[in-house]
Amino acid sequence: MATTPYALPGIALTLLAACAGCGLPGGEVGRVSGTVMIEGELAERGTITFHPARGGPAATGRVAGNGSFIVSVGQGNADKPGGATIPVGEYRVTVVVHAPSTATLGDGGPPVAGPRLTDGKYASVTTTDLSKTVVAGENVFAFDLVRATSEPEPARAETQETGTEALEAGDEPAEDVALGDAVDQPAADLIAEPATGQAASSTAASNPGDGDPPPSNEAASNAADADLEDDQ
Amino acid sequence: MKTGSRNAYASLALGGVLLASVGCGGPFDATATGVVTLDGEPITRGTVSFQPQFEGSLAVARIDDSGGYRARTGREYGLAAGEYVVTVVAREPPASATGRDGGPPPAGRMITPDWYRSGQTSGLSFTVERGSNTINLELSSDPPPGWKPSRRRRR
Repeated sequence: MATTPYALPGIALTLLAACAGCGLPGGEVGRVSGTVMIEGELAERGTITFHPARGGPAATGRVAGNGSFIVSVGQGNADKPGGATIPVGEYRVTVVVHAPSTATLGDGGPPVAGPRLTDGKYASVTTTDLSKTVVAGENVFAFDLVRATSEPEPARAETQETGTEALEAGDEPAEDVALGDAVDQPAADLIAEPATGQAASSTAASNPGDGDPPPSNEAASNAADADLEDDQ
Repeated sequence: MKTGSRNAYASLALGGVLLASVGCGGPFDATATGVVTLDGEPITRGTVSFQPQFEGSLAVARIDDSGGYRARTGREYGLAAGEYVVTVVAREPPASATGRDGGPPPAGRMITPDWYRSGQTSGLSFTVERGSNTINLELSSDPPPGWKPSRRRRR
């Protein structure tokens, strides 16, 4: 019985020591995991890539069925799956989520990738507006992405959109003032919104006479919401 | 006296274990589970999000086919104790696997009312205590006071 008081802190110390091996040597690296959502709903598959701003190898991860991911460079930590870490610093993030494949090429050919469900801007490091700072230790990031529009990949008709955007942006200041927001919000809107405007208009354009107007309206409002949520 | 010192050691050990698990990103200090209903009927698909009202990570859960959910932070089940605002988004599956020209399918119809999409309008705020929490989300299709359906309502 006399040894019991000493056994307990012994266990604690052992656990602490074991934890030191958690893959956080020197504070130079962080473990990056998180979740991917499309307009509020968890994604079911996909790929996410963290591109270091200072250059170097990108870290990738697969989005699991429950919407979660963990990224690693190459195979990551082979001894400890899930223990992969990447260097701390700034990253641009690209994400692609595809629908499940529904067709194969010819007889027994490879499956054709399903349509992409996430907006095309997230697919390229030059167009993505997602960026994160990875710090030492645990990093848990949640990404809520704008859904792709039904149009395959419309060329961005910026000039055509400008009129609409200007009008919508013009609605903003009154509400901004009411909410006490910064006065520069409308400008930020102009930068952030074209994709949304595009989403709204091309969805609407692709759905006329479908006999199913709700999805198009919804896609428009959802796209707008998702963009706003990014700003939180 | 002897018992007192044992308790002191025990709590020291417990503290060490808690500290160790936090440092490892292992189990969080709280869990949240529950059932999501709309007008009393379970919602059988969709996503629940717990937005921390403190410096922390979003916790999420997929709603299962009996309406249950279990909050997760990143890859791990559980979440940090604290104040949260909860949002719920559930859609019908898309009517078709692909849209026109093989493009992405249009989003399915919303099952949950729009105000539950945003933490500012959902009206669902909860304190998650250390340990296990049962948080049933009872949604209603009656709009909250002051709700105006506008696609640009957030600013």
